[in-house]
Amino acid sequence: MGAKQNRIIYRHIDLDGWDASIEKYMSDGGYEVLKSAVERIPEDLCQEVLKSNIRGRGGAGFPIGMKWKFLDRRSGKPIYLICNADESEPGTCKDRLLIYQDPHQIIEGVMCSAFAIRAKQAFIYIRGEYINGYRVLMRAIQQARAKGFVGDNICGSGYSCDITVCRGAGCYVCGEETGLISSLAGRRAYPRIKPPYFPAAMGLYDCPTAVNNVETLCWVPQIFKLGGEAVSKMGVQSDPGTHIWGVSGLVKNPGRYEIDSGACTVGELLYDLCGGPLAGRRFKAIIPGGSSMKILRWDEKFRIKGADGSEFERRTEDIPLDAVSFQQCGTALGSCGMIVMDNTVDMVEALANLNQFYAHESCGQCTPCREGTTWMSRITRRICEGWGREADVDLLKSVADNMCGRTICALGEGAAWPTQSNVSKFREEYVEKIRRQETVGGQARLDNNAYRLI
Amino acid sequence: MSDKVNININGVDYAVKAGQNVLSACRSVGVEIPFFCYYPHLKVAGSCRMCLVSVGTPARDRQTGQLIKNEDGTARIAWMPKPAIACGTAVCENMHIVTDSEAISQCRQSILEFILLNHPLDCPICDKAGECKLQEYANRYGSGVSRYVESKSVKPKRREVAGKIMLDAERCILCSRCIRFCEEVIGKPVLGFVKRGAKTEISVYPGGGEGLNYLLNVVDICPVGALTEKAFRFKMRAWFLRTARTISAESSAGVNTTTWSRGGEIYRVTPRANDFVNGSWMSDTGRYVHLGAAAGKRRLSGARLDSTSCSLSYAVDRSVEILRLSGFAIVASAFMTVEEMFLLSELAKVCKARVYMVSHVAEDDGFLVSADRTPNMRGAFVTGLIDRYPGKDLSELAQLVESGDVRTVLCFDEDLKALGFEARHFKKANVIYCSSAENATSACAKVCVPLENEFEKSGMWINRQFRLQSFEAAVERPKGVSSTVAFVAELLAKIGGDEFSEPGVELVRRVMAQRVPQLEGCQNIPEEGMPIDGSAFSRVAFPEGPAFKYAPSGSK
Amino acid sequence: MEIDSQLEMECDALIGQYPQKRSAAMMVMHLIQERFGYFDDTCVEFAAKKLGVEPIEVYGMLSFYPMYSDKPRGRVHIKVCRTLSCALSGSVKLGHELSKLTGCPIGSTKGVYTLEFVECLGNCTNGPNVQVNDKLFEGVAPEDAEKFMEKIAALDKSGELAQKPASAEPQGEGFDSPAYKG
Repeated sequence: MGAKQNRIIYRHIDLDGWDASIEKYMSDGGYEVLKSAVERIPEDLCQEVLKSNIRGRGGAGFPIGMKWKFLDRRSGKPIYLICNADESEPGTCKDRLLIYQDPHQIIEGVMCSAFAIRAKQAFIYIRGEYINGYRVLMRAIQQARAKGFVGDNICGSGYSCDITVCRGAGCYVCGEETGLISSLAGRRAYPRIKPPYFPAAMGLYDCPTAVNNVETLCWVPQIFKLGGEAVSKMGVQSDPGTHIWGVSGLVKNPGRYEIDSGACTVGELLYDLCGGPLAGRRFKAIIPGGSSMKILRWDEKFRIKGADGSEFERRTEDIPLDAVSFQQCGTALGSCGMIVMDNTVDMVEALANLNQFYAHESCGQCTPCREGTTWMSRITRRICEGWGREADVDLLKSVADNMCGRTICALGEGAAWPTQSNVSKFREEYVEKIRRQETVGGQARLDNNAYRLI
Repeated sequence: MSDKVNININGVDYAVKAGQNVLSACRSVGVEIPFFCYYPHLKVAGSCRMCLVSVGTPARDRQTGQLIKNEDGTARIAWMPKPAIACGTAVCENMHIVTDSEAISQCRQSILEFILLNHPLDCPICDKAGECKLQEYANRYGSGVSRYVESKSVKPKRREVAGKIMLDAERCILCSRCIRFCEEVIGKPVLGFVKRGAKTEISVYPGGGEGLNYLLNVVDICPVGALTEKAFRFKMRAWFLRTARTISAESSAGVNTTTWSRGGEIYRVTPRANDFVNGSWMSDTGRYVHLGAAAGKRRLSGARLDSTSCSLSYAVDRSVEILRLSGFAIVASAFMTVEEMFLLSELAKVCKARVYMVSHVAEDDGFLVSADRTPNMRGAFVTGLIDRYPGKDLSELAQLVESGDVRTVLCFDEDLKALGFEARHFKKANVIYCSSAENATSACAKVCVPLENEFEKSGMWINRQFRLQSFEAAVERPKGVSSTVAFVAELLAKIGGDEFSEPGVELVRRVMAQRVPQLEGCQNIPEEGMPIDGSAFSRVAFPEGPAFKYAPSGSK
Repeated sequence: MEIDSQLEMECDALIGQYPQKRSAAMMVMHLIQERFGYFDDTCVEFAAKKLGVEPIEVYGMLSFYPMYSDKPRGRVHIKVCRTLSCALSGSVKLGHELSKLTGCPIGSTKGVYTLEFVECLGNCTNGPNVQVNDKLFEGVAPEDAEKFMEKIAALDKSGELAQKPASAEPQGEGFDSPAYKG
């Protein structure tokens, strides 16, 4: 079985002669799903979504049907829908192309979802850096509004809902749903404590709110079109649908590849689609799903318990591309942004690079993440600059352990996982680097360093 | 539904009040959980992560919803995979809580390590030392050593806020208490977070907070020395100060306070929590009432007869003689305690004296400084001194003096000269002036009797809510100064031959409790005060407007 | 800074789109940032008044989100992505090269240039990524730094590089068509 793309969400991306206009989108059956959806009963639509068992594509992998089911409909408060287009996990860039090239697919997804959950207003929170994407989206919404797909009385159904687009301004924490809600409420993007601020009950303006990723919302019209049952049978049962893998880093052909879940393995993706490692190099490690996920050594082997109870061994390159398979290997596919590193990469520097990212992006609200990320960043930087101490290896691990599970939001853990996994899986590299530094002293310490990643 | 829930803390079963969070539930049964950002009268932030505890609830079968039992028949507990914040977790029936495990103490130790990374540890020059939560917890839960070898972060120090607070951003642990206070209580964000991540600091916009009268509360709620009161800065170590449970005399709000003193000198006044009266707050001006008592007014330090110093006992004897004459009027003060007013009221009855008072009304801020700027006007009603709200001056009394109907005035605290009395009135009537402070009246009174001020006496006041609250003397009264209770009781004993020959607050209270129906049980007032029946005075035109925890009678 | 009625109107239009005034903060602040290039006290107080908040809250956001600035930046604002994917393809070296070429230390402003390292620009598969004002340049290899800077200088001269407001028409036909491929 070779690696093969199955472009569903990405069906229009990079097509010859395609542009982001509404005419193009409608010529390919665009908005037909929305037109038929508004004739149906919203509860039934939610039921279809629940049946599809599609997981959120933003990183946490929570089933979208469940997320909608939890929406508090008894409070009588308005329900809001937020499309999370604040793609900011390093290694992830799948939503970008959708926004730039196929905005109408997103708008149809947003409107279908808004109708299904009876949202009063929909918001798209887009990364500040995607400034042209914002322009594309705004024009697309204008076009859709003119055709009656957005705004008042959608497709003559009597249901009205407008889309408001809000730009972020360079903040990773806005990717966290409650952080995004804070930002959208005109505040510093501080994630909120749960309980009581579960978005499904106490979201934007303390009203029930559904926050879904761009790709996730694009799945909604597919579910309405094909039926929840049919979608649930695509790919593997536990994680149906396709994944858009954004492969970056040191491979021959980095890029975005949409593949049925579980249809191929890590090895097949990296060799068959991405062309393998650069000439003369070997793969060393991959970070499977955005920088926060735990790193995997290329030569790592995992003991997996099969469904029938039998145990077998699995190599990193044999991991099938679906959520559960990655979980079995102690990591997660997150947002499917795979970062590939080869034998030329100094793992300490790679970690220092990421730690600097987390230290910069920690919102600073809760103690462990605020202090921990900066501390780890300073330790790794110090090691890279040639002033490592033997105790630093255990210290790094311990700081990361002390952060894990003690923060307000999941990003605090996401900031600790890279250090935890990197230090424990590549411990010998740290020890070796520090020992070398200690033996070569003085100026040589600095000369010794190539400064490639930080 | 029962208002109690059964919970298990560290293996011991308790029944605690329902609806509260784990932190207060644990405190209510004496199990301490350390915390920084939580504050009882503010919203939960949950950001310091110091109060993490292990929490478990009875496991339920996913399909049937039935409770799952262990083999021995007890409910199986499903423990949460991660520790939960005690401040943001509500107690529920059969919740299990662990606060003393190895894992939790490791948690606390690591959080403290994180907080201390960039803390300057300048306790020797920090005013908060001795009453600093961080210092206390570092001692009790910290590891004692630091593994941090990088340099500490540098943030602004010694920044003045609104002219009365010093902000040291380096000491700040970013608990957001002050921010939440400004937002939730004052309703105007003065302080705010700026920057991000480990660079985050508390800051204030230039000119922010000017003219706000409740800003100093942030100093009290700051768990560390980031916000210190300029007036108290570097004045005295907290541990040298003796505290007394006092009530603010600033207004009829009856704000509960703690007065901190050493060697008879008051160093600061801070709010004392009372859920029924002032939450945890007080006004900034209320903190400096003692400065007015000390500096603004000159102390009446010795007894005088016709402007000549004399002994206290001589002055008292002369007063008795004068009071025996007919045409006697009393000018009482709403700063007097309920006990003093009661005795005075008895004296008025015995002598058939008219009683006058003066209202001190100013703008009501709708929070904790009420329109009536005296602490005990309602006490005068309850003890029967007066039955209608007094006027702004004493012109009526002045006329009676003029006409010769009143020939003796026993005046407490009020400055007759500012209230309608001219020099000629002092010639026509004998004025006995009893107070702690000199003023224009004391300069021309026949007899001056030095009494203690409101910080030197103990007693009870009745605030705008008709809540009877008792307070202690913060400092001892100076030599040569009489206690008001003793003074009035002596007058009463000598003139009326009443039973108060051995005057003492306890005795007065006992008699008062018998004679005044509203004051029944006043010998044992609980800490939060005792609401009394004010319905008899519902017709009185009290000046206070609706405010914090107070609605004027007749309004909602 | 002069606040004109045009800006007020644009702010009001943005605020009108949200159920609560304050929600428009992100967009209003972008508008001000684009118009003036940075926030001075007048801007902070103007935004606070418009949004019905206190100046300290606007300042709190301003200093929280890196895309807003309280200091003026150069006409050509070069942001080099330094996060792992781009770093693996050489962006750190690129940043130092650009620093040499512009004479502008990283994280500072010199002449028309402001050069800084930023975190992930969200185009990881095509690194190294450089954003100049509102344009993204992908695949800028460090070896091509010199060629890249020539291109930037030319674009700057022709005025094509000028920061356009977010409300402008999308460039090209809506594709993310980087102006330069390394």
